[in-house]
Amino acid sequence: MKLLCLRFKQCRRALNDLGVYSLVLGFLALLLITISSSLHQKSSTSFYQLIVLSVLCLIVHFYRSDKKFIYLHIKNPYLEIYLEYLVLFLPFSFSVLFTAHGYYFFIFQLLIVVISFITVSISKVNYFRLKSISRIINSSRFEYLSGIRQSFFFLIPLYSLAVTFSWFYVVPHVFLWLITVTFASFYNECEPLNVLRSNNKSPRQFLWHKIALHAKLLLPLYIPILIINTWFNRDFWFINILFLLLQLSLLIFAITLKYRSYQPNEKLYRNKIILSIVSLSAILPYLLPVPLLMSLVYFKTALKNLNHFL
Amino acid sequence: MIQIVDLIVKIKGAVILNNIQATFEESLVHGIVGLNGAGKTTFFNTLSCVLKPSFGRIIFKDRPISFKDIGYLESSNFFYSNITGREYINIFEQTNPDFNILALSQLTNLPLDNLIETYSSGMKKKLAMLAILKQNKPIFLFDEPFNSLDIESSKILELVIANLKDKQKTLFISSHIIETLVPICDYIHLIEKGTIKKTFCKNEFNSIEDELLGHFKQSARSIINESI
Repeated sequence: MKLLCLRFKQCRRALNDLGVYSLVLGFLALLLITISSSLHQKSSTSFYQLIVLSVLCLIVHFYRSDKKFIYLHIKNPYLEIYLEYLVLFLPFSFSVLFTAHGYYFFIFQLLIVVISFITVSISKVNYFRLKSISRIINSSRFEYLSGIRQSFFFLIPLYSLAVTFSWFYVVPHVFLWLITVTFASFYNECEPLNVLRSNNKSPRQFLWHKIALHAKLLLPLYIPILIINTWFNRDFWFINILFLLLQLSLLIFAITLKYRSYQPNEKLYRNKIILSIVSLSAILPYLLPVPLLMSLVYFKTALKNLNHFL
Repeated sequence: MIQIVDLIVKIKGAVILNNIQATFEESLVHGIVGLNGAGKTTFFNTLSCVLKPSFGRIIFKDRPISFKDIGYLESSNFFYSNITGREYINIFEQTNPDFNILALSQLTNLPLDNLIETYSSGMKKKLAMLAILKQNKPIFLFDEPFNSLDIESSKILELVIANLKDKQKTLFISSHIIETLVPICDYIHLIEKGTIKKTFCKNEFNSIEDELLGHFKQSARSIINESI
């Protein structure tokens, strides 16, 4: 139970750090649990849900970097890891117990027991190297060099699908939105201080430079698809312009959020959750202005924070 | 001349640097020694404007020192993940006209096209050093630069330091191992309890160890004799 106690402490700390966003996260979690419970009512959807949960568990297990340490130093490592997964997936699996196909729960438990015994890891170094990518993307956009290396196999199919369905209503927009959300996730790691200072710019100049530099990367990717979409759906031109502005505001939000909480060499785990919540606002029409408004607020706080370093 | 006047640095209320008054001559190599927790890294972080003084100031060329004056090689080197050594170097603008990445990467044996994650800690230190040398700065701070370097790389670092001195740069170098500082420094400053206790010139270097560790050795010896 040692590991589990440690995780509880970490979660409590993360929730404290999230502040008001923890309420939104709680609401989203409740929503997901409710959806999950309703899916468990039917045997077929329940079965698929548990398959998805098993795959998720397997991905988490493959990519976690603390496995070696746990197997080496923690007593009963397999039991500890199993307990972690049991607690992590319990909110999405326990309700199946109260249905006619309650035995699925035990099959799922069996699967996560097996997963806990897998000692193979996928190391970060195995990521696709894309050596020549720096010929296309300048080193000053290091977030993209790093991010594209990590998400290459995810981004390429998404962009191909956006191109393929570019003349359809809404479909390319969903794919492009997913690409923006992926791009926004590139800003969750803080560069070392000497990299930040290498620009020799004032905080305001630095932020505008960063926004312009990254917008220049985004626009040539999105504009051709949106032009094709507008060509085939003339009545959609206004939506396409609005969509592009929304994507830019999400990007600006991600940049200002990063530098609002910038600390040299830090990984901004808290920002990941905030970013996911704000990204969802793009799906809910009445929340569309949220990224833009938050960017305006965060721009000022980012300037204030950068004043300490630049 | 780099002048430190009434410098006090507090971190979370605790006084780390306590009323430092010092003057450092330009174009020389200054060694900084002190026991763990003496305040060496805080001193470097304050010189490089990573930390702001709680009181006092640091003057360089009759104005407050700026981070633009300083190339800072930190004791622990962090890099952005999933980028190659070459991409990291390319982030920095080349202001040193003599900087030749090809020659230096061959000399230091750095696989610049590999991801930095694959580098050893010594290679990471050399990469960070190359990024600093690419920029033409009047002052260089090297915090524990010899840590994790092999014999060849340590020799290269010594030659780099000598070269920077020849180019009239001012260097501050800290080390736990006094022997590494003796051949390269013009002065060695002893930091104790957050203040510069004493400055040694070349002919006094052999008395540093006694000054630094004399009392410590005595008390450590008695504890070890009683406890083991």
